[in-house]
Amino acid sequence: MVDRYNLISLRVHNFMGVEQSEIKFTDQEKNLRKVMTITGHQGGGKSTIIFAIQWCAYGTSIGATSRRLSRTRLYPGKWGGKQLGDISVTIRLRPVGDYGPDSDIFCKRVLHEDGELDSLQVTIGPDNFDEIESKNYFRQIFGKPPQIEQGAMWVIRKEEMQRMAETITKTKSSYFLDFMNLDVPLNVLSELKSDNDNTIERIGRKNWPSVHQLPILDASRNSLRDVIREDKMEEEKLIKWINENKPQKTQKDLQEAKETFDKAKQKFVDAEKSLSENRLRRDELVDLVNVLLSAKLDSSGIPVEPSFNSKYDWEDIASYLEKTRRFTPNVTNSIKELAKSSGYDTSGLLDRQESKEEWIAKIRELRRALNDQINSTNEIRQLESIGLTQENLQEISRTNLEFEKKTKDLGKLSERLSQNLEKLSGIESEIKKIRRSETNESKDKIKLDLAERQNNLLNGLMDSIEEANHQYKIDLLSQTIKRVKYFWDIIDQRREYVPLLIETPTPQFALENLSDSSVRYVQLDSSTGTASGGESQLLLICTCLAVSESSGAKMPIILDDCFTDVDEPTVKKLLSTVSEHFNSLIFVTNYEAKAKLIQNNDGVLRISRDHVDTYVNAKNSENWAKWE
Amino acid sequence: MSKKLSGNTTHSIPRRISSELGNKDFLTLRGLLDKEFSGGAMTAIMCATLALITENTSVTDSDEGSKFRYNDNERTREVFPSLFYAVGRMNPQVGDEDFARFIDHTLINSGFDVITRNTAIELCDLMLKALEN
Repeated sequence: MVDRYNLISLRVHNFMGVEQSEIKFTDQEKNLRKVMTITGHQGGGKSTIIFAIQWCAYGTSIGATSRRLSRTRLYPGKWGGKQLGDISVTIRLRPVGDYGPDSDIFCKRVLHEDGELDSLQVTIGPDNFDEIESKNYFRQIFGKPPQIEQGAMWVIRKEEMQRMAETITKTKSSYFLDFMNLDVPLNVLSELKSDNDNTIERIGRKNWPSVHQLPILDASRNSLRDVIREDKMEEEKLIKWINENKPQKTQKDLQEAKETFDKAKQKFVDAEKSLSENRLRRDELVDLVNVLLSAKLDSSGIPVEPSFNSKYDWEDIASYLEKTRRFTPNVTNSIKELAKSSGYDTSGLLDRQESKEEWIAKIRELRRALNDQINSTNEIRQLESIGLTQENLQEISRTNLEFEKKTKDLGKLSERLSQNLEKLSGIESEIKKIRRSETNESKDKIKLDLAERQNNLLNGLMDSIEEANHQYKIDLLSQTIKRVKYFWDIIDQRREYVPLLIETPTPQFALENLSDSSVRYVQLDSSTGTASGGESQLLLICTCLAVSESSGAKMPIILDDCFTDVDEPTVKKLLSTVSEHFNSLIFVTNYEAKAKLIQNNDGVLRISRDHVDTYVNAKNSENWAKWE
Repeated sequence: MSKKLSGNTTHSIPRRISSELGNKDFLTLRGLLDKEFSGGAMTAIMCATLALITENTSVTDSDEGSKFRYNDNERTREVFPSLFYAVGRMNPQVGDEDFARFIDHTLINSGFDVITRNTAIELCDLMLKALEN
């Protein structure tokens, strides 16, 4: 098993500010540089080199644009946020020990322009790429990838120190514990419990129809069915009656016929009235007879003679006068002749011209009235001959009215039937719903019971895990604190404090003052996120080193200059301790003075953009990164 | 009996137009009268008048009918002289002995025949014809 690997070279293509560059970490005699410094002014590209190595190890956080190693952040600025070519970083590593170039491991990560995910290919020497072998080597060299954000325990920067401070001072999920994969089961169980809580709440919110309503609904349905059955029978009867009694005449025709009949009837009544008014009165007959006889005599050319004898018997008078002998026989004979020639009273026949005119008018009027009466009678007879009698019309009208009433009754009945059928459908649907819901309710009850039981179990389990985690963290920190103390003892030059594990209430690291046994906790600067005070920073660095040691990673320790409060002798001791203990160290700083603090330094790589226009490329790469 | 008849003369009308046994239709002159004839005198005068104006003497019936006298009714007393006068003047060929029988047997029955053979309107027309000539 290889203890650790040294960097041989780093080849970068289209990565952030570098188009093309290859940095070799060997000297001119091709000897390995185990301990080295990367220095340069701010903005020169030191962090780009660290990121390139880190990306090669763990890849891109696809889609997470806010992350430092998100896909779009890798693109060179001139691409304008779109990938215009392949991105790749190749690290060449060689195991520490007696190994030659044939043992070199090539780790190449590529993010193709049209690729969804990047890929890492690991090959040894001239061997071809093998996917399974690649994964094995990946684990060996880089260790487990961190759970949260980018980072590796072999890279110690301000960010790692910040997270380490959170780890050893607080109980929340943190980089350190993520690395140890401690909280994962608890998180999964929490999610499971949350799901169960949702299920319980959702089922609890449901308002199930009451099964107690079923008997009432059943009774309503049966009652309604009876009503519907009866209504259907009634409907059939009505339909049958209506079909059998369809009126021959519509109401309109009937109305017209009735009007005709009534009109004729009225004419008849009027004619009767007129006739009655114009009929000859019995007391008028004397006058009529006189006028008729007078007219007939006149038309026959017979003059009517005035008469003197209407009241006297001229023969008796003549006989009487003869007996008196005062008159001559001629006179008495003349008187006797009067009786012969004019024996009747003719006064009724005389001068009847005026009356005659009146009678003509009167008889004409009578004739007209008679004619009207006859015509109206004939009219009524004609109507009656076609079946239109007053009685018939009344009968037809009565039948029609009944037909209309039955038709209306049928309409009402059909409407009621339709409403009742709809109502019945609603009740049946409700019954089905309740019966179905009984099944669903039963299923939900099982789900609810299961969720509650699971939650009870989960609560216990989570309590146990939290307890176990708490204990495990204490155990882990107990083991870690030993290594922390180991590094602390070597590195610390002031001998005022010693690392200490505080178990309760929250397991955390602190420093114990050797002179008065007082405890000093790590304080985080809220503005920078870094620990304040040289002792606190050193405690964090020592913790990082201890964790890195236990992580299994075999990469060189990359130590960024993040310990600004640590005094120079301690820094010097820190650098020498790391380089000796891990057999390799890349110290990154932008301070010239600090760069010289490393003893047995195999070289200083100066990063400068003084002779680089915009992007590092094949032509200016040597000017960008130069060994001194 | 002379040609001169008095109101006490007894004649008869056919039973079919008598008040007791007659047809209502005939008794109202086919509906021209507002009321039926009351008494045989006026019926007989009307029948004879109709026979005269239509110059119908086609029917002679000697069967005994419903008897009456012209004086039976106050109204007929006023008019029977006009009838007798007209009959006498228009039928000069009828002798004195036949005069009463001519009225009784021929004119009254012929007039009744006119009533039975004509409708109300025809009767009107007959009267109008007589008046308008």
